[in-house]
Amino acid sequence: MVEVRVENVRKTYGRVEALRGVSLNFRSGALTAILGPSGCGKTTLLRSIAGFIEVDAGRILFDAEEVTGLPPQRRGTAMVFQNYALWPHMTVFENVAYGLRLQKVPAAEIRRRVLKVLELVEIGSLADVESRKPSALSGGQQQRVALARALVVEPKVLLMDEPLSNLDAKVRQRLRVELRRLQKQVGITAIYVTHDQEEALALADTVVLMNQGMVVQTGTPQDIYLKPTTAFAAEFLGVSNQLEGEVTDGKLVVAGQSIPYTGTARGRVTVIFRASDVQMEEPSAPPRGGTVALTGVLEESLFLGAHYRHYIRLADGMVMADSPDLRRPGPFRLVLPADKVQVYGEHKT
Amino acid sequence: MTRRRAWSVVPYLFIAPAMVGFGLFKLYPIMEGLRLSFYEVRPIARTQDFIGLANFAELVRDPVILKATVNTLLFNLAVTPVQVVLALGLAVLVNRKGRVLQAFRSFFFMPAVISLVVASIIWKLMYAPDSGLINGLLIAVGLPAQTFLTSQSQAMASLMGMVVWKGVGYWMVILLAGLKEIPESIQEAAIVDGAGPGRRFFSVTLPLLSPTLVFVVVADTVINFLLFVPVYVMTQGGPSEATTLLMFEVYRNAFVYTRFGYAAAISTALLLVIAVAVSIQMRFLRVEFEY
Repeated sequence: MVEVRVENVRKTYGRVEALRGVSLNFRSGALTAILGPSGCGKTTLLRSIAGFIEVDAGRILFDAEEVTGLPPQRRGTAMVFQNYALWPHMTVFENVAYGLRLQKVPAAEIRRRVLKVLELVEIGSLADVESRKPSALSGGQQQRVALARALVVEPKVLLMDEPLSNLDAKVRQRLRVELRRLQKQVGITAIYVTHDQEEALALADTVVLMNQGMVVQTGTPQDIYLKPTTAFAAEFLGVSNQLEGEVTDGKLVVAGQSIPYTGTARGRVTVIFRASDVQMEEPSAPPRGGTVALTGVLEESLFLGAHYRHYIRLADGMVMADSPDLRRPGPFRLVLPADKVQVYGEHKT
Repeated sequence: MTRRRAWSVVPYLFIAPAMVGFGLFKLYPIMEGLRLSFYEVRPIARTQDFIGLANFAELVRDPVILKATVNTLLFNLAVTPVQVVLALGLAVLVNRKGRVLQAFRSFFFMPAVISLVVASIIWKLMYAPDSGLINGLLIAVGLPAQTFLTSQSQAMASLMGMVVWKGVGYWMVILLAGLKEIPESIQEAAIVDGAGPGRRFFSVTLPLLSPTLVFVVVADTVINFLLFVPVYVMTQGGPSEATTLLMFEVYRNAFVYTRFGYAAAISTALLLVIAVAVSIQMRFLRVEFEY
């Protein structure tokens, strides 16, 4: 198990700065998810760690060993790709055994290790792995084979580039659980790139949130989800309501309504809160302590299975609120616990 | 006619232009050629006499046809592999990143856009014994001048050299497209596993390129079997039939000796030879995967 350290890594493509001085520690034996929107630099960072991309500046270390200048094959990593990247002309067994054959491991040992790792990833029947080609397998099974191929060489670091994004939702959720089980069982340092926040939160010990080539926030999934430190983090992590406002004289004016504010932000601000934190009350209901309230008109309600999502029009915008029951359209008071309303200064990231 | 039945005709209407073209310009000439091969055709007298298999019986006894058949097979056995191997090598080379190598793509492809007639004339001039460029260069570096197209021992090799030069850039582009089709991640998976460039080429690139490679081998074989222009322009089949290929014999019998029936019989035999060669290639170069 090794710790991966990235120190002030920079990479530019022409005028585009893909990585802008990224520094991170990937704990040994832990699964770290790099999360962010398309083009945020997460895949560039992963490929830099793998050695496929030569960085312009900075260092990459596996424990004390600097690997910045080493080619991919000398870093001791293994990679699981989004499109599986299995060799279609080889059988399942040959795919998994390829790396071991290159290491000139004796044939009997190769057989033992390949079958063991295929059992570990629960590929199903081991009887025909020596005759079946990857195209005969389902997407989920192919990704299991890809994972087995990565694990069989016992890499120092396991790198995964959106490995579940080509799979359908059901398979993705099942494999997510199994990936987590496997990573814990093997105890390998794993770095997982995804743009799916739910996947990152569900899988990772640590989540690294990236945007525009920079690290925005690092923390446990709970920290990242419950205490986003920037408007971007809050927005990206699925906090559904976002309003523009202004702070003047201890008051926050949002959607033409004034609510008390004791925070530090001043001037133009972004106000963010979750649909699930909004309580919808009659306009005549008495105010409660520790809450802030906005008034609006309910225009539409949609049944989403677990709850109803209500769309409420404010003076300059629409907000969403979730509730277990259907409400009639009309005026409502939207009550929010004061500590659930996040206010960020104008600079989003 | 019901509405549903009327709609079922629509797909056939869409493919009708292509089918008419195929019938007129492919199927009809083949069938007409096949029919003529059983006839003695006299164009001046405007008669066609059915003679059964007589044309084919003559064909197997004709020493010129025998020589042309051997030449055609040798020509294919030499030119097709050399062209494909060179094209593959160049495709791998120009597939690498780098502006200089990318500029070479156009350079290597250039012969493919030159008319075959023009290229044949240029090479004939280059091969000229006294004033040719190649002999000029040989003499300049102290080597003896060669006879090239005028020598029985060198004419076929000289012809092959020109044909290889003409075709290699074209096949390179096709193979380059095949190389581009191989997902980068498939190569990277092999790199991470520790495969060096050579190992990666033979264990990953080449097998994954095989669908394109099969197409190139088969198409190149067919084209080389049907080669006519360079022989016509550069050697007229000489010296002493050293460069006579079957297609040239078809031309000579049809348009020089006006033996259309006999020329049709050679064409039919050539079609069979190509069919056998291609089916052997398809048998051994089967591709049993997809990606």
